[in-house]
Amino acid sequence: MVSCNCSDIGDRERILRKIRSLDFAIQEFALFLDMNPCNQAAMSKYNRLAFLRRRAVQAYEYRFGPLTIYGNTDANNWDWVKGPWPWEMED
Amino acid sequence: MWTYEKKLQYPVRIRRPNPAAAKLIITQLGGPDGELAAAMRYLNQRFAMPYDRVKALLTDIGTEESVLTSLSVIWYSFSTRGGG
Repeated sequence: MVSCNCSDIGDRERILRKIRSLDFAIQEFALFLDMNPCNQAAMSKYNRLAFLRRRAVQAYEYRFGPLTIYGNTDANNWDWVKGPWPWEMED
Repeated sequence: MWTYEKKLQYPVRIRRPNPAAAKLIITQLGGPDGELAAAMRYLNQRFAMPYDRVKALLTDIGTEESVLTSLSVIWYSFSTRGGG
């Protein structure tokens, strides 16, 4: 993980916004699929969104550190302890 | 059981701290009608649910309510920062 300059912070927010909107859509598809598990149209939309999310999370974690404890990418450093934490983000 | 994600579900920007609003929002966190109680109800009801689809639904809604709880915590802490 490299130290951040201004354009990094802009990129961070941009990728986070993408992940957030994918999460929102995936959440709704999950609730729908719970009750309609055989709906193929919903299933293929879900598959597409889940693929895009995996890709976005991979891009985020590589540059800005892990989103979960399973996403530490640096083999020699435990980046999970590095801030900022969500409640420490400043405008 | 659950996995913490180091990001907000929705970005919160508090421009002017508002203790009155914070007082209202905190009621959505704790108490009998708060998000935390709702999350626990959904997750506990799963164990008596005979239908697989609804087991999944209760699990997902209960999880989502737990996320909303953490959102409320963060919102509240921002609301009171410097506001008393």
